[in-house]
Amino acid sequence: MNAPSISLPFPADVPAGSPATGDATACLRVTGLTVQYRGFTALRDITIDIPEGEITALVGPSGCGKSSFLHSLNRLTDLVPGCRVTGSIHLADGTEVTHPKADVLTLRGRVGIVFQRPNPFPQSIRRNFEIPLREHGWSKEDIPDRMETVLRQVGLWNEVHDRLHKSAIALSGGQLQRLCIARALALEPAVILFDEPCSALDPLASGVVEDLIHSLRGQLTIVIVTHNLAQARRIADHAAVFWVRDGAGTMVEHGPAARVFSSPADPDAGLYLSGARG
Amino acid sequence: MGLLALVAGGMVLLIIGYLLTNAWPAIQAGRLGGFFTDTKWQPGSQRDPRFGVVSMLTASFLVTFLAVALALPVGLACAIFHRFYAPPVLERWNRRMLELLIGVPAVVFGFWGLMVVVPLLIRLAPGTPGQSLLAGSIVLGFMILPIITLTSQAALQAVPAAQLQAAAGLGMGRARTIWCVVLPAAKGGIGTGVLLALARAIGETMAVVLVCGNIPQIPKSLFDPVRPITSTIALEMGYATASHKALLFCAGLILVLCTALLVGWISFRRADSDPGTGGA
Repeated sequence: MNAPSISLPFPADVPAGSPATGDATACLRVTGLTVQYRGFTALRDITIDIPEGEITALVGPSGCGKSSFLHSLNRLTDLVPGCRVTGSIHLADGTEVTHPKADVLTLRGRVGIVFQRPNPFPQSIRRNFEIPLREHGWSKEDIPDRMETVLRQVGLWNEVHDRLHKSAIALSGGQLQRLCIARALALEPAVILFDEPCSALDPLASGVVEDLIHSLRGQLTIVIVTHNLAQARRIADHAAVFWVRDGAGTMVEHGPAARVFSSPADPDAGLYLSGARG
Repeated sequence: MGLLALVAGGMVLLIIGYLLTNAWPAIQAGRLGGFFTDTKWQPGSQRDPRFGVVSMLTASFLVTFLAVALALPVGLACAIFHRFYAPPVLERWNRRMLELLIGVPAVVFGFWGLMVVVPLLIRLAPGTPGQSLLAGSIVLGFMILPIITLTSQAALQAVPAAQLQAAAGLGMGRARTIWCVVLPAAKGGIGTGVLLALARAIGETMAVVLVCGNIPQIPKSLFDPVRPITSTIALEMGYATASHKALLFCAGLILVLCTALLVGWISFRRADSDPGTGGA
């Protein structure tokens, strides 16, 4: 609960789409990160600083380790049997994510994640907030306010405020994804990781979710994996292009989004970003 | 092949038909009224025949429900341990043992109950016969324990991985994940397992004959001997004649009806529950 407050009104105070300043401090510092699954190297030697309060988009073809990278940022790789992560990841406050004795549960509260398929608990909308908030030490009295704040923030309050006791799974796909974003926001994370958050949604719902993610810019650090290059262009301040080299995923290009998209140095990245390959 | 399948399916109709035919004399003679109003069971008596089965029905239901009440917490804990805590080797071994437990014949269970559980109860409550409602429940509880454990474990395993991932992504610990996410999602499957166990327990005969004490009465305490309906049929069919026999068939019919209701309930729940959400 010592994470920066993100209870700003919707939309965000920071004008969306303002150009990346380039001097933002690193919120996540990744050094020499390698992810292996039972000897198979999915991701090799990634070093990148993820700037605070901005949107970093990870793009690249399937199977190049983007999701492995994302999941290692909040230790979800722990859930995969046989997965081994080497290298180091540090949060801005010095917390070492990769430390074997790191408090993983608290860490995941500070580095939240939203998955490709909305995954609400098949219980009431209210329970979807109560369960994680209780885990993180919120008192029962504070939960309704917190829930309302984040549901307003994702623009869902007016749609669901009279059915909070009803099952969450009755909502539409786009609503479900916004519910999952609200649920992640409720824990006041410093970072939210988005793992292709729009790819399971129809174009209209996808647009709503994209706008929502954009509106969070400035309030917290966002890392988003997307296959939608147009979307990455629209919302990202920074971009990193992943590619398979020598049988392992690696990062071939990263930097301010405008530069990466307009004049990529890596030839593979150039072809991919121009739509000629991938 | 189709014919063979029909024979298998038709068997149940044949059995019910057979039961009905044999029970018919008793039904026709209007004995069914006494079935539920008489307090005593003395069908063989020439002077004062009585046909009350209420005490035996009560015994059947009490033994069954107590057995489930004993086995459910243990079985569920076992399933949760297998699924979320045990190292794979231990899980595999313990599951194999439980699968073996299903195969142990009822008479062996009864034998074990008689030699181990009954003396234990006598020591626990001196002055009681030991063969009692509680003894029957404990033995039956062990018999249905593997059913409850294995079906619960399957239900826990059927909870979508996305749910576990969601919980992990929200920084939830194992205990809260199990309690607040997994169990609500698995409760439909667990409930089905409990119904299967009920159906199995209510028809059980051999073990209860040996440990329940076989006195047809409505028990006043856990330590009172009782006689479930299955015991009555098993004990008396050998020497029963004419009307007495017909009454036993009536009792059997009631038992089949109870089991059929349970099985019907199970399939109704299965059809009703949405597999995507585990019936929650």
